[in-house]
Amino acid sequence: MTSEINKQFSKPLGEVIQSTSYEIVVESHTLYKTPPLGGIIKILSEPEIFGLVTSIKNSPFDNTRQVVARGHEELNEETLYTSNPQLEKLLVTNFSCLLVGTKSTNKIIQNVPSTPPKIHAFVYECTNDDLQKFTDSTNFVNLLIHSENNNFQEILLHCVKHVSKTINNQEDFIMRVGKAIISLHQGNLYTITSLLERLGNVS
Amino acid sequence: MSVKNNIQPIGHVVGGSLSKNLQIRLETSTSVEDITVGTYLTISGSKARILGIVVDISIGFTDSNLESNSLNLSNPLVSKIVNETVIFGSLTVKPMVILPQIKGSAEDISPAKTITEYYAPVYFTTDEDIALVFGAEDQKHFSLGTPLDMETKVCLDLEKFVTRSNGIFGKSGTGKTFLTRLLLIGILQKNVASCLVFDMHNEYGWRGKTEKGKEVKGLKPLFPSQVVIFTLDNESLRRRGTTADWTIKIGYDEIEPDDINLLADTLKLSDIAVGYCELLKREWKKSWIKNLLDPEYQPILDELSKSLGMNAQALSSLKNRLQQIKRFDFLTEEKGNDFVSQVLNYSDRGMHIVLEFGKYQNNLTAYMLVSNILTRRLHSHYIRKSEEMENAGGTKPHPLVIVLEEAHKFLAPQISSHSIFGMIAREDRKYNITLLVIDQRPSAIDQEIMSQIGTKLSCALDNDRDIDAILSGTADSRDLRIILSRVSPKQQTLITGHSVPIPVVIKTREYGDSNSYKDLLKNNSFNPSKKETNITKKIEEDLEDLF
Repeated sequence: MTSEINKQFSKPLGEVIQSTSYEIVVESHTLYKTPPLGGIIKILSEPEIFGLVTSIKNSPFDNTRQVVARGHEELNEETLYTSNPQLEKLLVTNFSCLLVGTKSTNKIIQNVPSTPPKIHAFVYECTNDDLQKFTDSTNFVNLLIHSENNNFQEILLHCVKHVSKTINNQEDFIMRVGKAIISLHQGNLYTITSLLERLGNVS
Repeated sequence: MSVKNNIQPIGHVVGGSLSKNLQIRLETSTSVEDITVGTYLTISGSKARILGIVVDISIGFTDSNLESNSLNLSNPLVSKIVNETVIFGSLTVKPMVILPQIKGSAEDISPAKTITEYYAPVYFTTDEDIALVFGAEDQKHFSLGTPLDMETKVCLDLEKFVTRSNGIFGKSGTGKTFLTRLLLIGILQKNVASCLVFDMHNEYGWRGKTEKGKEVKGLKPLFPSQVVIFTLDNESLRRRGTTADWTIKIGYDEIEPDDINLLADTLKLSDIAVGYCELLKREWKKSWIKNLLDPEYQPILDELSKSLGMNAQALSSLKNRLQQIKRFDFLTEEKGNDFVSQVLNYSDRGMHIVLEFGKYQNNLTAYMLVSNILTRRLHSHYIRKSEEMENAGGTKPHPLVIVLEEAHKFLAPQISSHSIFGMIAREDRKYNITLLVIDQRPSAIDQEIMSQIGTKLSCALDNDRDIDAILSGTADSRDLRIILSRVSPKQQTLITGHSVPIPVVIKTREYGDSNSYKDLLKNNSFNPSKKETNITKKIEEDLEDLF
């Protein structure tokens, strides 16, 4: 079943290299090719699991080998990579995702999956249809805020910006996210003010 | 702006009590600006449907910090988010009556003795429910207008209305006269009483004017066979191209010391001078005024003054002040023309009398004198007739409503206890004679009298003391105060009292164009004699031409 679905999505972004009940780390199949911060990805497991990109990291494969500068003789970055084809093999792009939803029949429920995704599970970009369904709820704001990620404001704003580009009812979605922010930040006027002001500029 | 319907709830019950009213939190789709105090709402509990009236409107915050720190709402989207989340509209609704769960009859309505459960949905009250509470127009119900922002008619039970004295209050220019005209037409149509209107400013008989100077019809052109015009000044009517059915002449011998007592304030008479009236009456009987004002009687008056130990200065002052009434053409040294019998004759036949004051329209002394003399005599007649009928086991006389303007002059605390109008207001419903007082200073009326007023129709008032006077002794006065203080000066009236099931703010029905006249001429219950029917038919044909 899973292999059949995988055929429909021939270009996975990467695969899971670490997973817990709440988050995963994905290694990109292509250096520097990742979804944006705040982007929504999916894993074609049973059920399908959805994740929100919370950080992206480019680093050497081997953490013990420090990267050194190589462009002293190069005209630009492009020629640097052309002149050093081994770099594609020595560097890697990873991104972390907060698990924010599972698919149930034809709906996306914004919750934490009952079991974490398998290691090496393929990770795909969401389709526009997925994003439309994903925005039926704003519980992901709650999951994000309670993930204790210090950068949740930035992630959330990137998410809204990214998602609202592709959906039909953009203003309604932003409104609902705004309302969720307010109800989740009772008493924290500074955070509300700061987030709402930036959210208002997303549209 | 929300759409007014009863499908979508406008809010939910979030707290409150029966004594402190219910708190309703508005849905974000309903703005506080869509609702005004005095609006009716229906709260739909699982076991009871309660009709309530909005007595207060407020804005609440889910985050108390926002009350002292404002957000930057310059971005429209942020403003919308905040308005729909942090800020919410809140209503204080007073439960009034319990409506039947399914469409029922007025008998199924009972006073609200409970409240609904938490989060019960709240709707705008439907026209059907309002009609159920206030009744439809019929033989005894008359529509005075519609509730705010609604189409249903609010009806007064006029049969009940005329059983007690009632009042129309409001500052100048708020539509008291129009409201009175409508009520008189209602009483006339439903034939529940006869009316005697002391028409100080000549506004009820033939024609009146709006605030903008537009002419409107009085009662006579609309109901010619049911209304008779009495006047003190035939010349004035003639100048205006109209006629009177009767011109009043009052003999000096008809004036009693009590009539002068009522005028003490306007004539600036001292208590001593007023007391002398009784002494003079005792000495000269019915000729006391005539003799007092006759210069030839001065020597006799001097002697009398000495013999009775009267203060010469006070007596002289009384005489001088009473000289004013000599200028009244309707007073005569001869016998009067027995106008009281004529008034009684018409009122016994269920007809309505408008007494126009003509050129005396700004003369408070003339107004008070004539209305007091006439009312005193009518009062005696009604008491006598009621007692006779009680002994004979018959029915009471046809109810009479006396319409009195500038009522505070007659019902002030210092005179109401002994004035004839005070007596009528207190107890004369027993004799089928009641008052309809019209006043712009209810605070100047004796509180005891105000507490006897059955139904109060209050137009806009801006004096706190007047508002307090109207609501003193009224149940729920605290809540009604907010409503009354916000009644619009144009065509709005708060009705409270015995002839409406619950207090209601109405938009007064139209009066003054041909459609309004046609509408008012419908449903006339008056049943004239055969001869009068022919006259009525002829007049109604003429009216058709007129329209």
